Amino acid sequence: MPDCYEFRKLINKLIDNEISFSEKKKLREHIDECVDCKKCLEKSIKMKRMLAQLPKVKTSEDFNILLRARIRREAHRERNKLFASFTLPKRTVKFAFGIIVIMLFILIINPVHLIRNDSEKQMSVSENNNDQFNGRIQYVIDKYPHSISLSREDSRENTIDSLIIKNDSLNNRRSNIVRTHATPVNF
Amino acid sequence: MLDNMNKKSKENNSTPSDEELIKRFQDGDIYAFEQLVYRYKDRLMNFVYNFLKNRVEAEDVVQETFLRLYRNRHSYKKIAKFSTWFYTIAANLAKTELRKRKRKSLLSLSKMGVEDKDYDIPDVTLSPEKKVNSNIREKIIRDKIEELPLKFREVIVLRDIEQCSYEEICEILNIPIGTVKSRINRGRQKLQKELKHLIEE
Repeated sequence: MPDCYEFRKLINKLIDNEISFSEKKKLREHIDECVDCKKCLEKSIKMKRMLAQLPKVKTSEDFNILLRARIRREAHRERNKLFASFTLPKRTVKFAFGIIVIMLFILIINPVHLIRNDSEKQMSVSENNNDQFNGRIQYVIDKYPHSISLSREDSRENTIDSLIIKNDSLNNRRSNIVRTHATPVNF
Repeated sequence: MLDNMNKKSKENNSTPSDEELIKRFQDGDIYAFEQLVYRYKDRLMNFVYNFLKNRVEAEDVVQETFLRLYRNRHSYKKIAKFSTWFYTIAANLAKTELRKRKRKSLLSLSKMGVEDKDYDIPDVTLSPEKKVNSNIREKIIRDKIEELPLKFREVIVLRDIEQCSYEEICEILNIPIGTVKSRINRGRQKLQKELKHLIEE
């Protein structure tokens, strides 16, 4: 029987066409003598044929349509992925947003410093303006000395409370002169 | 899709090999992919069906295999034969499906027999009586194959139904050639015992 075990292996080789010429010869000689192995060979061949003849299962008619739809979806996803690779990463966006929030927070909790700065700026600006306006008034008075009259009180206090411009040609300059309200003017 | 493919194949009289097609597909030729679908869809369906014995599930696995091919087309390297590489993907997916099914059957209280009622292959050469008999025989054979342990079933399906060579089987299943041979021997012995009455008819 141990011999037969070896020949069973050869039978498998034979039906798979993997047997060598010498092995084939050996098997043939054995089969002529051993009935069991001959039966085994016949059964093996029959079973092999049965399995090979099993009807082939085919895909359904909808297969192509369904696959096409899935492939299209997949292609669309690939395109989106490609697009996503060109945009900023989420972490960077979050980081930038965080910095903006922190800066806003600092602005809100520390307004005194800013207000002081602003007031200093405003003061310097108003000083400059005063110089400018004084120069302008001087210019107006030099050019049109008869057209301007000052009230007594104003002249006493050496300030301009009201500046009356009689000449119509000066109307368009009025706004500038009015802004110099309550500022000292040296005549 | 297939019409375009047929036109194209008529234009080129020499049929390109699978490896040439996958190369073209890797270079962006979608018609090459369609040609591969046309070549492999039924072969894979038959292969996967022998594992799962359910048409709907088998077709789903085949679709998933093609989707994997589309998605991972660049992971194929020319060192392997395309068919082997592709069958490996299908075999792995089929095994995953079997594992899922096992988990489901463990969870369900009553084990319901999932039968494929819609399975019908017209065979005009046989008389109705013979056709019924052949259908019964076929069902018995498929049932007996399904009852085999997975390690024997996969080699039997690949060798005796899909006609793969020993080398191809060992590449697809990633097992040594000696193991392939011994599993084929033992698998056949088991199946022969199960199908004894059919063989001796």
